[in-house]
Amino acid sequence: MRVSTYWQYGNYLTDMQAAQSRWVEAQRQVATGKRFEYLSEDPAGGQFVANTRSIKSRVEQLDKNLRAADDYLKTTEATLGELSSFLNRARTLAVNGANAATNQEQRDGMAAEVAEIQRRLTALANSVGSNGQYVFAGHRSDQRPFQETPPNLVFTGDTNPVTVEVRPGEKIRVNMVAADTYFTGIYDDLERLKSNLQSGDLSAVSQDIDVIKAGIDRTNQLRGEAGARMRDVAAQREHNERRIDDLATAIADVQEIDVAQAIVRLHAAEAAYTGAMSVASRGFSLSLLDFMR
Amino acid sequence: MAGAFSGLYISSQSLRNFQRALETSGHNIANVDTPGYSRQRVGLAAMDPIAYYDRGWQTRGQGAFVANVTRARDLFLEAASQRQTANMGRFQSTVKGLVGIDQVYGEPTDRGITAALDQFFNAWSAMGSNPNDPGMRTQVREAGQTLADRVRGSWHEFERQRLEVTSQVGSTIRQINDLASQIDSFNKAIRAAVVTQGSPNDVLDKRDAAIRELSQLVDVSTFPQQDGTLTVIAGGFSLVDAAGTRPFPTTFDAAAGTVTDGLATYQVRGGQLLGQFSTLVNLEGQQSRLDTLANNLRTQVNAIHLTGTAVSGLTNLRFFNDVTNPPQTGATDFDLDQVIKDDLENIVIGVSGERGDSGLAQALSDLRDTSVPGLGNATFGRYHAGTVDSIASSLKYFRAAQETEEAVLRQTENRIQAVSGVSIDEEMADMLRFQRSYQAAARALTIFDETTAEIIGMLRR
Repeated sequence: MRVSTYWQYGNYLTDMQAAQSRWVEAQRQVATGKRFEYLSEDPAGGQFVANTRSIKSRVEQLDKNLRAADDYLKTTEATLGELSSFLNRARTLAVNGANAATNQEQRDGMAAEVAEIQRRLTALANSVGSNGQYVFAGHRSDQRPFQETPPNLVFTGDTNPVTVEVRPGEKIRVNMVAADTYFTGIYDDLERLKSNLQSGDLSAVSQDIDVIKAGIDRTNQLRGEAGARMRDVAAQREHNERRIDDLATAIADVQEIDVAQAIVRLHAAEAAYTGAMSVASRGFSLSLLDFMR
Repeated sequence: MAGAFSGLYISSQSLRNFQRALETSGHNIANVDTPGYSRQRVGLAAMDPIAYYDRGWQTRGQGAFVANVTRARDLFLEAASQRQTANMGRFQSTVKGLVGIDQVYGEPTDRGITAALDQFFNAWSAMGSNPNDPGMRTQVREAGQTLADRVRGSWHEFERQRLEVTSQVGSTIRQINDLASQIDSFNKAIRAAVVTQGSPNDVLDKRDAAIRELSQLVDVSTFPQQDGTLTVIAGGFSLVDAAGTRPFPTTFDAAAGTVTDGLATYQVRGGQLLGQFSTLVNLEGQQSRLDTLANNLRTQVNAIHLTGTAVSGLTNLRFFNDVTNPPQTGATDFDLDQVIKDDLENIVIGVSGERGDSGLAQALSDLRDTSVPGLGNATFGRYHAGTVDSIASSLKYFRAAQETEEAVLRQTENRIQAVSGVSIDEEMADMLRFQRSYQAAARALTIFDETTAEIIGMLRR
């Protein structure tokens, strides 16, 4: 083949540029750690990455939602725990009050203590979660749901379910079912105990012992339910975290480079570029002109 | 003209011949870097012999003369190069257009519409699960604003590109006309020269270069005429002929890939112009997809949002701006409704309006999994992924096509260079040869001169 000077020099340049662009691409991969940046560089892989990123961001959001569920359930559980210990105290008072050895003056003191427990119960029924929401108020979570207007505890919230999205399309209820009747029921039991203590009706007080006991059982049962749901939520969060890790790995598998391999390729590209330059520089310096006198 | 001086005449003629050959080599070397230049060759030919009578008829040579100066040129390769250049021009400008679109979408990164859709639905999901957290309302508004901004911003970026490409089409047509009048003036110079002076090689080269530049812009076919002029058909339109040029039509239909001058329609089949046409079609397609996306977001999100009550008791509130009567306005002014911008509390999350009722927020979060009839029964995410995917795939296809065409064109250029390109080494070797020949001719002249001097000396005695 006949070689023209323009072609020869043009070829050196083309080869050098091709080697240079491969070198720059290898540099970009090592520097960014990514095999491609735009979808067009690998439509199939890019689409997979885009989808997976979408799913990952959704699972991350669901994981955050679980924290909200956790908040509701923890507040419920702690509230019921505290209430349970107050009720135990009320039961002790009832047992002591039913004892014939106790005089009326002491019973009046006990009644005052029961009234105090009623106030604590009202406060607990108005517990708030971390966003300042009243957890036993249903949807009306921005207003105090329980008002103490002796001899009654009045409920002004609603009993609608408060739900949290925990899995795609799946919601769980996080507020207590029938919180209104539960709290007002306990309040009424205490109210009865208080008036029985005040009136000194020993047989009625001893009946109250069983009523209070039933209230304690109910409380502990509800507390157990909240605890079980907390464990569910914790298990789901653990699952989500594993899933997020898996998804991140899947994205990395497709989009990210193997660093060792990329560095080897970078060196190879560098060697090719140096080679192209050295070939060109030899060619440039070779001419018939140098051999003519 | 047999006689005592004919040897002198032969020698001086050959001195001139070799002088011309040396000059041509010099011309070739001078043009070693001139693009489109084809090397020239001096064609020497023996002069017709003359007959004389010397005991029978004899012939005697008369030396040599410069018969012609030719260009080394392969017409087949030239035609191939024109065709490939037109494809190349088309692919280059198509790829350029698609790269612009791909970069506006910026997928798969956090600044794309896909990420904005995810964030938007995530924000509603968070709102649905934390109705009492005022931060969630801010998050919903920010996510909605980001989504609207990206859809609207992409649309306007495409609009800007569309106007730019439209004006580029105008400038491509102006360039076509400029090149046409250049070719026309070369045609006229060549016709004049062919009649009076023989082959005007350098003007021919310039015309070829102009044709190649024209091939970059639009598909070109050429037909050489008897008088040395070239008839040029560009995009099916007779652009240049012996009579002169006709202005290229400026009215175009990008979708059909045609231009029209009012009398007939001409199909553009290649070159930058066709690439610009398909870029316009691509841009309009993207704009209409964004319009569909924006309108369906409005319809679907507002449909849920309108059914609820704000905490303040207000009802009938929209989340995205919309007109009461269709047609909807598309992506060009896609934004949050003013009431949402005015007050976060106007974000509706439940039917009842109670602070803790977040049913509608959860319904809006579920919207991400809903097949929307207006989007061809795809979800919002799938619809946009389809948009982006088709751009990415055609960009990949055209990039590959461009690379292939580049390689093919380079191959052709190499073959053209192998025929037409100047080699300095070859020219130097030629120059040495011509120099030696010149020296020999000069020596012959001296000998003839001495012979003649001999005769003149004899006459003097």
